[in-house]
Amino acid sequence: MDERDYELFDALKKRPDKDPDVYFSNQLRRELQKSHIKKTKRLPVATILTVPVTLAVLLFVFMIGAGQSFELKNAAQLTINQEKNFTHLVVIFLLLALSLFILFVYYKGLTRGKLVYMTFALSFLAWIGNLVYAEKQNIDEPIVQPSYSESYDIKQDHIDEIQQDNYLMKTIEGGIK
Amino acid sequence: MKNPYDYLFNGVCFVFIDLRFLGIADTDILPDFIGYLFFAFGIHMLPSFHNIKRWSKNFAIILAVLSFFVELDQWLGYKMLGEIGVQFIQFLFIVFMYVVFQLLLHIHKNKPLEAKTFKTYQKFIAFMLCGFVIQSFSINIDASMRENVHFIGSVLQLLAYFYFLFYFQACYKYYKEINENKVHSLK
Repeated sequence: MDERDYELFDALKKRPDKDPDVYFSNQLRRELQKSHIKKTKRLPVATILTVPVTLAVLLFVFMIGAGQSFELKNAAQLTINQEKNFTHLVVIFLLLALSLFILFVYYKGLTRGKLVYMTFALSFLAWIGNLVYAEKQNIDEPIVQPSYSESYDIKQDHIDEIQQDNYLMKTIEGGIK
Repeated sequence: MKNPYDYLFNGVCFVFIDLRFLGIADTDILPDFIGYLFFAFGIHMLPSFHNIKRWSKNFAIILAVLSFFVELDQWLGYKMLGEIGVQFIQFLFIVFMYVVFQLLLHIHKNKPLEAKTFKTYQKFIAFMLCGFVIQSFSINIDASMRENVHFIGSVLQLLAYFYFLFYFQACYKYYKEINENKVHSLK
């Protein structure tokens, strides 16, 4: 063989695109697939969710059965008064649940399928839902809520000053009369 | 031959870097639609004949047109859509990046960068989607908390951007090495 042929042969051997690290990639994929299967077996989400719920329901039934009465009138009053706080809590809970779901799906390393589609669909629905809710709230409460624009405070102060001036004028006029 | 990852990186930079965040200017100085055009060209140069390549290229062009109108709306000061248009484009961008990552995963299958592509995909899409969800919920959160919540969403998206930056560096080196080796072998 010519010396040039050896050189060419060596160069070809070094080419990473001709000789990819197939073994490494296959090993990694196999590990991922194995861990995927193991995790689904080890961590059944359905039981984690259903066990506390069933426990809570059983506890409730036992308490009712034991004859303890629940006086919920005051509590209801409180919840009506604190409806806003409650909605805020629901919003934060939904936000956390959705972001945890997204993190969970991608942590599991899914690239396609129902769950990945669901993450996109749910986040889009959450966006639409928030927009609709904000719109509806604005219709329900036509009073201007403090928006986060800086101009609001300045305007409000200005209006307060005008009102105070008017009041002073009236009282002075009243005094003169 | 130019590096397709260069174009993809330019695209991400143009879409992400937004001087309104920093409060320097009222309008976006690096317009997003140029970023999407960079994306389209970069995808065009990627070495693949898969159908995803065609779809993602068309998707990039559609996004370029859409974001051009949204930017025009802001530049002219009509603000017909307000933030809604921007957020919608942001959501479409996340879907688009998902498609781009599918293409990259396909290209890097059985190659040294497969693991890195996969990990970047996991973190990038998860952080971007979480950031989007947090920002969309921030409208209905108490006014005192609103700005902070919005900021958390932005920070998550910035993290995703940095992950893409590191991935881009690895891709860039890999592509450069391949090209150098090709040149050597041809000599």
